Amino acid sequence: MIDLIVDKKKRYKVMLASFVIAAMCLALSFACGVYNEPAHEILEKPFAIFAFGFIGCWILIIMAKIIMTPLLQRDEEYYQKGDDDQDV
Amino acid sequence: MFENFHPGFVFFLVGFFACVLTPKLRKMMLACGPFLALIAIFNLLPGTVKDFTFLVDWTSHYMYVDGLSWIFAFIFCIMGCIGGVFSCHNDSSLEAICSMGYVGASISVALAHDWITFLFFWELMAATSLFLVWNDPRPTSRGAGTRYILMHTLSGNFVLFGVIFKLVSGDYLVHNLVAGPHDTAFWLILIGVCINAAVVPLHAWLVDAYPSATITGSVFMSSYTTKVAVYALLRIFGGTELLIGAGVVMALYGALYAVMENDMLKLLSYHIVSQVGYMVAGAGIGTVMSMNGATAHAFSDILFKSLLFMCCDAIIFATGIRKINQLGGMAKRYRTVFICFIVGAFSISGIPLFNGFISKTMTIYAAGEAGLMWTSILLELASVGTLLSICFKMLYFIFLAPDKGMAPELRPIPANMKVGMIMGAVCCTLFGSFPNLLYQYLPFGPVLYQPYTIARVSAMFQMAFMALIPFLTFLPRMEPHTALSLDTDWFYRRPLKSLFRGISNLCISSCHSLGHAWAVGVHQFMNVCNNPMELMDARPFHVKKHYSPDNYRTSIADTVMIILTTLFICIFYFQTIG
Repeated sequence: MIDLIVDKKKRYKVMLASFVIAAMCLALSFACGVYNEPAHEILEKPFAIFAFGFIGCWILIIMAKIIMTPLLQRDEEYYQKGDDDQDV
Repeated sequence: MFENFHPGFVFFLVGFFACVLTPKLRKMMLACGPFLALIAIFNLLPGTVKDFTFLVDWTSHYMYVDGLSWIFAFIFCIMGCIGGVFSCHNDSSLEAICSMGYVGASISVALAHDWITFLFFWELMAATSLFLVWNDPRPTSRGAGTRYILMHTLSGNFVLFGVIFKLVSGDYLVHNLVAGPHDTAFWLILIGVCINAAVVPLHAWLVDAYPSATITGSVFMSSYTTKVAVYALLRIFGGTELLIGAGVVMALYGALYAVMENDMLKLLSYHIVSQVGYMVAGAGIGTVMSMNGATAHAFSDILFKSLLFMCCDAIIFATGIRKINQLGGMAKRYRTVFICFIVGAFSISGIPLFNGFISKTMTIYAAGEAGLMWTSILLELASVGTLLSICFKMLYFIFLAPDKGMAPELRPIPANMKVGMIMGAVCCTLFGSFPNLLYQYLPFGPVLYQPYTIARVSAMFQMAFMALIPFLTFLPRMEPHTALSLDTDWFYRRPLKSLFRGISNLCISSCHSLGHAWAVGVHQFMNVCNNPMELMDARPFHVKKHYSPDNYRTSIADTVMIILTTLFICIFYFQTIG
């Protein structure tokens, strides 16, 4: 099993490999002339989806884990404490 | 034999026989019976209308076959077959009849052509699915089931009143209401359908009830209620602009909550909300492309979502653990589940060659084509959220991370569960690899969308691999912790519950006080009635004195005295006269 939390070196390697594959896909798009025609949408522009995956993921992580988690998460017995769902 | 036979009725029959047969025959019935419905669905001719007259002058159009009703009935049948195989090891006959009845009712809603038949099966769906929650032995399931049926009763009542208004105005058949008039009936039916579609903020029943259902029940539940509501939105409200915003909010809301969630089934339930968001937005946009996209995504979602539920249910069955942070190393222990989960995760994330890719990208493209730039960007952002929580988080922490060793014992997974999962995985891959298998049946017009272009495939891989980098950077903090995420159900589980409890206590204490005052009044009145002398004596009313006739009985001396006095007066009178 892969413990990427402890094994930082491996984690960085996977991150690098991930970046390289994404960059290769982008290069393939350029090579095939995907961006030769004018883009109809913002995400069809060169580098847009490449950056969107990275930035979008950060936005979601920050919103969910840093903002929403402390605001919205409670003890698991939160509703049971108000004698809801008690087994009679 | 099966020409124009209602496929929903096949499921009702299968459920009935599964209930009355011996356990061994029940298993066979559940595994094989639903396939008869598949034969029936392929023998349905487009344009078929079947009805019967009921109560002298009312005709139920219980089967109307057009492109939209057929494709939904078709996928409901496929899912019924997969679910039947997956759940056939169950010993519970109640669960068998309820799950098959639930499938039958869902198909019947899709094929219903008049409002009353539509409403009848709509309610039957809620009633049958309720027992899939209540059949679970956990105490929390009872509360969740009660909240589930309360919400669905509310939904049913909205639809009921809308239907009554429609019938009063002489409108008997189910059809698109967007052209108008946007009257009370329109809004009532829309709200009722939105509750079933789990539109935020009316969605909390879903994430509350689905994880509380039985292991096999949740697989059925993940596939039907919300998709039937999507069918209703496409049929009745296709082109309602209000739904675009609702769909985008759903897609993002579900994705964000899923990132926080620790319970496997709750996480997947939030993803139902998220994926249904794409369909709701597609129905709201109302173009041929978007409506086809929404239909295709509903079709795909039933397959990959049920597959993911089956995989998680298999893990729960084997380990008894529901929390992601207590699992790990499952890839080594349960290879079949691992492979099927990968197929499901790739499908829901829209990875090429899997069925999410051919439907999700179509809906997003339709938004862009309709000139809704922000809708398309936000739906794309929600798909990054799907990648993050299912493809990365669940896949890593459940299957690839080191085992936490918290499972007390590992049970083998029954063969029928594995077969069910494999069937789901094959369907996801088949429809994903050959999109025309699905596109040819899309009902809103020819599909002018080609998913497999270099631009689209490359864009998907760029997005997926770039999204992996922030996940890995944040990995030590990505592991969820045991906690409960507050959702909109908080309003009716805390303040509304307290309000109801307060009102109930007030009513009870008022009743008690009024009852006591009444009892005292009656008692005093009876005292007065028993002895009006007490009132004439003008004694204070509050002086409580028990009535006794002896208190008011004159003594014998008084009588003797009166007689003697009378006697002496008489003697004196007569002597004087004489």
